[in-house]
Amino acid sequence: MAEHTLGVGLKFRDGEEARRWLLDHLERLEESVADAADIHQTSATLTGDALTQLESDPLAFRKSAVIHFRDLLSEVTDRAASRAEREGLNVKALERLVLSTLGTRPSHTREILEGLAAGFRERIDRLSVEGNAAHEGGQGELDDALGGLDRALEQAVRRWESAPLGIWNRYRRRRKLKRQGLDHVADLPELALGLASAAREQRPSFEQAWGHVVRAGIHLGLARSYAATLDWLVTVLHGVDDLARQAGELAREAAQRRRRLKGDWTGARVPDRHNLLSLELLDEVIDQLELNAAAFLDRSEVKADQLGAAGRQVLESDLRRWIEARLGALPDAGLRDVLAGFRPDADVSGPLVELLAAGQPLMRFNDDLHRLWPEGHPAQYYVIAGATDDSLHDALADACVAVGLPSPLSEVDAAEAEATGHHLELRVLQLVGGLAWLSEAERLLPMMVTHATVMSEADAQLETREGLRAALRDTLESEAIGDVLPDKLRRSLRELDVLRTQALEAPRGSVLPAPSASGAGGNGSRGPKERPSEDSPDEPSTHEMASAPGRSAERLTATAKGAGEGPIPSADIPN
Amino acid sequence: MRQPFIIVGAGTDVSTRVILPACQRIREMHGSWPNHVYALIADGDEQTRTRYTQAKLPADRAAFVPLSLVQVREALAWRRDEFRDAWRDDWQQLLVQGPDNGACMVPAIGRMMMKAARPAIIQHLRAFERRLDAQGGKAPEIYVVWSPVSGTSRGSVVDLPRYLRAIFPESPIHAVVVHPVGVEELDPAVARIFQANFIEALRLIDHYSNTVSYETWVDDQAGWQRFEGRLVDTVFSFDEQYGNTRFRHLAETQRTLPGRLEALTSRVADFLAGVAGGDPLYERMRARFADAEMHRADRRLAGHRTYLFGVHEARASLDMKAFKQALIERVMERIGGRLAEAKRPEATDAHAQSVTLFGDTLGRAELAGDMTQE
Repeated sequence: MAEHTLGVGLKFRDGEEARRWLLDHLERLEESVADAADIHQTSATLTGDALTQLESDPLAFRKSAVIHFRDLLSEVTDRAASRAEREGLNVKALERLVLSTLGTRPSHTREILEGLAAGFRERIDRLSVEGNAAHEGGQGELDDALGGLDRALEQAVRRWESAPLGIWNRYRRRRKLKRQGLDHVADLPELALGLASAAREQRPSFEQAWGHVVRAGIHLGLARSYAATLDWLVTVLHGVDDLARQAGELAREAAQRRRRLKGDWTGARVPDRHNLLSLELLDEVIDQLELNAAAFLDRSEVKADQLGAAGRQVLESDLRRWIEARLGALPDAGLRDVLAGFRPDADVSGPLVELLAAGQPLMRFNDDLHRLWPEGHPAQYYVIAGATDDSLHDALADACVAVGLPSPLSEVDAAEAEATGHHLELRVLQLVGGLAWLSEAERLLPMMVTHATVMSEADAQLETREGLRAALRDTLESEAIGDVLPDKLRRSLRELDVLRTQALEAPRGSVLPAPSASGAGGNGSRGPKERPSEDSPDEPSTHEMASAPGRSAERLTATAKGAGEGPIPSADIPN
Repeated sequence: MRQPFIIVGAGTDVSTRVILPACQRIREMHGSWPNHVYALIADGDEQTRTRYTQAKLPADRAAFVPLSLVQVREALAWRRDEFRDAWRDDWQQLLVQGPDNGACMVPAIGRMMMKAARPAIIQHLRAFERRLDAQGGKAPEIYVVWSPVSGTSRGSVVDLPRYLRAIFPESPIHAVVVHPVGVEELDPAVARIFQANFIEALRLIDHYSNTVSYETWVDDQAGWQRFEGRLVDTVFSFDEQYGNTRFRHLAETQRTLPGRLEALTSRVADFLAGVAGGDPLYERMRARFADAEMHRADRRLAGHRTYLFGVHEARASLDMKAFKQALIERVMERIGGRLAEAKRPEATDAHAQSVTLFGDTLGRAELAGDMTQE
């Protein structure tokens, strides 16, 4: 599978690779967040404040310990979340990357988004578990510490209540505390000192609970940050789903409308009635104008998390408005632009040659045949072109030269162009003159053979000859009319026919026999018999015999001989 | 006054596929029927008469002459001498018992119907002549359309140009010859007759393209009269198989027009409408045609006049309005199709299959079942 580039430097083959990439970066992010100075400072400050209160006013601390615990958790969670958001995945950048690549490889982009989402889910699951565990651990530690504090305070009170009061005792205690450097508490009452001493003994337990809370706060803060990103990713994925569904409907409806446009322009084309409106032309123009999904999605107003949210109709109207705005850049087209697919450097001779070839005069002829006679003159060709603009003037002349036609008489039908308005049209009329029916010899000869066969058939049956001749020859004098193909041409065509038949029937790869071994250049035993000679010009070819339905070669030969002797001229008989 | 034109033809295919469509296009080109164009249609088929009526052409400019065996019977009774070159006594049964439905594959019957309709044809031609005289115009160019593969059109090859020449002796008569189309797909017996008919018609056209002496019956009082002249001046050939075989450098030298007879006759109708309707492209073509006709048509090659012309108009067009609309739809189709690729694959829709509620994984079906039970 090809790698998919999601922005500069990000190349993912599939969603799994994207997930692994994400997990790798998230681990580093989590380490960074855990070591963040601000989080450490916050946790140290809040912990210090709480523990200071623990020693200075244990009873007040006892009342607000849970609040301290929650404040610390909340503050660390917020700090961790904000830091993860700041140093984590750049959602804005990801959004632009997603939008720019969704139009080029949508399914792959979707796969990568799903891979990223899966990575986030995995990390969120893990962080939530770890965070909850740390939180529960901290909660347990706090409960235990508070229980210990309660017990120590109770003992301190009990000791204070049971100890004998006396000035001497209080003096000695104050002196002892002063010697220890605790002047600020030396003047406190005995009970306060006892409580403070009892609370101080519980400090390690509270510190442990606070440590759990900090860890829980970091995990939960990261999870919260990841959850926000995952939420965005899921929203994008749902938007992509909606967009894909709406776009599919849109594409189907647009295709139907396009097919209905101008009837069957996408159907079978008639070569000489060429509608230039084709899918190829449309696609060429679309590619040049870069009217694609990537460009459509890469607009600044598109938000990744709002894809498909507005509904199909809004999508359609947005898309249509965008296309129409882009089409405004399409220059006023001329025939050349259209034939060239709106590419300025494209050659249009090819399509014009095709048009000239498809627009040859509507007869199958050979204007070279007249050169068989000394008096023959070449056929006269004319190419007359009318166009709605003159952009093809030179190209048409080049195409005529390429085909072998004379320079065209090309004019711009300005009135027609004005009348038709948005209609571009090139009309090329080819006229050839100076031909005779013999120019169509190859086309006419098979029909002439059939004609001769039909005319001679009645002779063989000796029943309806007169009637048939009279019915098909509607004038008596037509029987004496000469043939439209000269004998010279018929002989040449017969020979060509025989050679073609032999070439078709010859085994592939066979080596031509030496002339001395097989006679006059024939192919096998049939060659000499089938090849017509100047001595026997009336011998029928195999093709002609085969083309006479229901008749054997012998019968046709007999008919031909009989016809040669009878009143039907030999020119009417298949030779 | 503009150069007048007369378009003439007989037979169902010629009438319904060529002349009537050409007339309708000419009228569309001008908005109304132009003064310089005349048409004459002759056929025995009811379908042709219906199509002619539906076309609502001006009857004094585009006339229709019905043909029928009834006319032949009456004409034989009254003017048997006129039929002396076309009638055989052994056709009596065919004439009496033959179906009079306009379909005839026998050119002899077609020719007799044309001869029987001679008075009507001459009458219409004389009416055209009188109008043209009144307009003081030039001799009309006459285009006779033949698809000479079966009865009526094939039967008109001999007499129709004689009638035209009798009324318009100075007019150039251009034959428009449509070749047989799709004979290889026809019943072999029919195909043979069609091809034989076509070649026979070509022989006649080729013969009458020379200056020959011929007899014709134009007027009942004058009876048979002998003329000398040329009945066909030039021929425009139209065939579905086309192409110059000399153009070997082209990838495909022999081409077949798709669409068979309908497409081919549509091209003929385009040609006639373009020429008679005054299409600028065909106006220029006519100028070149006149040049070629003057210098080439009377030359001879192996004893035959080189009077055969081939013509074809190819078009390449684009409606810009439709193009822009198609462009918009195509862009929407492409962008929509591309974005639709982002649809979630059903097989890997793991998250759609199960949901997690407070740590308990529930399948969709399970959840739906619970809700149903509730």
